[in-house]
Amino acid sequence: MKITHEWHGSKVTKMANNGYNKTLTIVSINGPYRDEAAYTLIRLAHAAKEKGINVNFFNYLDGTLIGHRDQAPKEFPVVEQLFGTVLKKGLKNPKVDAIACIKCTDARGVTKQQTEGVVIGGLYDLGEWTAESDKTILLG
Amino acid sequence: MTNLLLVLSKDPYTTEIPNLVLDIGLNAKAKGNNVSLYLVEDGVTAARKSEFGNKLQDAKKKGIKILADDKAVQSRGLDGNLVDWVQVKEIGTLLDHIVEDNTRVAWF
Amino acid sequence: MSKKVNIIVTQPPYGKEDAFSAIPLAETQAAAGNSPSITFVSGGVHSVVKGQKTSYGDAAVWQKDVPSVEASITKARDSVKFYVLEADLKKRGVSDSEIIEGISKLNIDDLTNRILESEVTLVF
Repeated sequence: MKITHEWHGSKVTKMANNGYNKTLTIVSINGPYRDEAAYTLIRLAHAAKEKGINVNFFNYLDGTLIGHRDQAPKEFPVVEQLFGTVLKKGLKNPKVDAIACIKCTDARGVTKQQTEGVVIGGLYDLGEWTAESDKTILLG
Repeated sequence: MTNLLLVLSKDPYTTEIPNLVLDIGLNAKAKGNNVSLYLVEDGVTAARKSEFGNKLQDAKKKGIKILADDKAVQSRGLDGNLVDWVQVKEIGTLLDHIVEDNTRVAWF
Repeated sequence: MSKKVNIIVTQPPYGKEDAFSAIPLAETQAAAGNSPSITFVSGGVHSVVKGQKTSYGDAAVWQKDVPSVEASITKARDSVKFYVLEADLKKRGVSDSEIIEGISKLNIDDLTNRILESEVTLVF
């Protein structure tokens, strides 16, 4: 939760609870466009930014296509662009991190095709994120 | 007593999962827990005035809160076609429920 | 902090990758210090049937077979608890003698309790 107060004539916004942000880990397993989940996770990320909640994205199975570079749908909002912007804004608090699982990206030939900000990792990263996060969900 | 948030993203009849989710919710409620059923994506069709919608109304009478994602409701032309007592909310409400302390979350 | 990670698989094996891929996810949860389990429900219950033979044809053409979910379950049993929803087995006519060893049956009451007791539930 953010609180704003005056400090030496300036407005300062900071986290309540001594700066503790909650962290949500979201696992994705479906690719963009055929499945709506990619838009849902972007919407959740926007809401998380407003509320000061950190988000970890773990892209698994076809979810590794969410961050695929060079997406150019003619009629749909561009998932790569939306996701990439979320990641860029997530360099600052509240943080957003994204890992794509290497076994899945290798299988799909997309390991070197991930958009900027997506890190290649593995299931052990998800294990650690699960242990550390306040909540972990999977959008199936 | 626990808070249980069941998120349903699947349409009933296409899959039996909504029935399972409802069974879990009713079971948890009967055990004395607070249960919310949050409909998102295709799951919002479960709240259409229909046979399944009637099941949701019965669940509501037993104390299960039913909520639905506003954008999913609108895109599917469901405004005005939902069973009573469904609270249509924006995505921030879903996030609040997910990260709430003492709340278990299962996203189907 | 070790968390109970309750993984639920709803999809039948082979038609989707889900049943196969839930298993290494569970195994690494154990490696990371969490307590994972996998419960097969709905079409996912077909994953627990013995005698799965995976091959699409001539090895010279296919190079390798699709990995067996049965073999993955058997291998993971030491670190992952496996469960199956009894009502969904019955609906599908799967008898007890067909079930891979080491898998416990749950009813809806048990499944609900597991969701309420687990810090994390992940549904494939």
